[in-house]
Amino acid sequence: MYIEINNYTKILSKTTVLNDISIKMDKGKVYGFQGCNGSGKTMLMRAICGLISPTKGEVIIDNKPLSKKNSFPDSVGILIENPGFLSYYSGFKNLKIIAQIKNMITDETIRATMSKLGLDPYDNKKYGKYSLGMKQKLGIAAAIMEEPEIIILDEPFNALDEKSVTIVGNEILNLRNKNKLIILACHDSKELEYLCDEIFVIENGKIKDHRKFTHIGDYDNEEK
Amino acid sequence: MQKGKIILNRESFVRFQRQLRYDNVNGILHYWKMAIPVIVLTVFVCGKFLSDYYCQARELSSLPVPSTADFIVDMFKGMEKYEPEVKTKPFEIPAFYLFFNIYISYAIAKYPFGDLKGMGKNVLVNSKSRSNWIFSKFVWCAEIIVVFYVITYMVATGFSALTGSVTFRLNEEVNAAVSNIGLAQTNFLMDAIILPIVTSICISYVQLMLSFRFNLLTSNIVTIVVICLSAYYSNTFLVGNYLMLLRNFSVIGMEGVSTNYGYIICILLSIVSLFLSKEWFRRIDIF
Repeated sequence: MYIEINNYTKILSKTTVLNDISIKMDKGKVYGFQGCNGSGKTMLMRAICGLISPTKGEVIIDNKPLSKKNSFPDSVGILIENPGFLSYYSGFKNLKIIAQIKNMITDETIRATMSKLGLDPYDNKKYGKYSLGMKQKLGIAAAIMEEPEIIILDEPFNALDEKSVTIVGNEILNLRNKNKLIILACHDSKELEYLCDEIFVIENGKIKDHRKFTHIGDYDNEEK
Repeated sequence: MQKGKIILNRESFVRFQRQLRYDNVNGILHYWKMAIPVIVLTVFVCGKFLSDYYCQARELSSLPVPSTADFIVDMFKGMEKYEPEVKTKPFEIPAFYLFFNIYISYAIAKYPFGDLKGMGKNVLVNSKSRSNWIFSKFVWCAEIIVVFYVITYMVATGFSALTGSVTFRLNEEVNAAVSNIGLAQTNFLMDAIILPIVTSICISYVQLMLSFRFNLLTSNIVTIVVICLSAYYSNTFLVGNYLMLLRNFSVIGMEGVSTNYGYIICILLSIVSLFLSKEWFRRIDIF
């Protein structure tokens, strides 16, 4: 599993939001997109999961370019911007609805994913009554529950308390160890440096810097 | 290779079914509040018809009690052909025709785009097919329109139960005296029941297509303009005319719009809208 982005440019209403971006990413690694608000991180994530099409360039996933006929990657889990769920269902029911589309995982797997992230799968509280942190964790659960080959998490630590940040961080590293390709976007460089093998710094839609790290093992927020 | 393709198609069909089930649950079952204005509007129109009936019944003692079909015909009669040169006939768009169709336009616009901003994005990426998403939304659109129409028939049935005549048999005397319309029983099903549904589906499909090509506001405005223009001009190509029985050939003769043309135009427009939407949705950026 690999992702290759070749000369990707996206122009929206005469504004270049992604400018000639070329990146290669491999499985078993965590990649970070770092940049300030409006730098193009989220847009690049949308490009990788096929939600937007390029003005120029291409995204190739395992030799298959994303195109009109092949809109989305075969196996991808996403959390892009704020998680959106149905307010009148519980967290579990929401995840179940998403899981039913592929019908690959059991209820037990959904419950196990929720528990791992610190959510009670038997809690009947409706999503609309969830706190911001719980909503965020449910969004992460939706992205990772099927253990897709590519996991895209945009600002996954938003609204999470320190304990939850540690839990999510460890889960990201677990998935990395399972050979998944993980992409994170975050404006906090400390979080990214702890988790990522490579970081791309994005500024005004362009890659300004590319840093590589030696992975440090277990993630513990307390140590920072 | 052939076998692989068949398996892929079957998988795609199964995913379409799942997408459709998702839309049915979220866009219809959990969309039930959208039915309330339709019920209120229909109760109001049926109530007015009943009150008009009792006024007439006082004068014409032999008037039979109105049936379910009479309520439906009155609801969907629309307005007579407007002639600006006849000063005694002011241009008054019938409330039911206007509000019912504008409300459908609003309901159709609300769900698909709302879904795409929320969980629908995950569902779309998981289903892996933009075509499945759009086809599912078109099926949903037809279903919700049928649901809205069925609600109006149910309210009409409720009112006719009050009068004690739950039947789809038209009473010519009631239609003539209260609704000012003469529709033959043989034309009731095709002209008063199926044609308005097919026309509403067609208008909604065109609206969906325009919303994918331009934006929600533009598509809503176009729909409202078509509904109003149809009331003003009696014309084969202004499809709103097929929503009004008083504009139909089988009611007013040669000056009316043809039911057959109505079906042909609406079905063709629906098919074109479906395929254009599919093409445009492939290129649309989802934020």
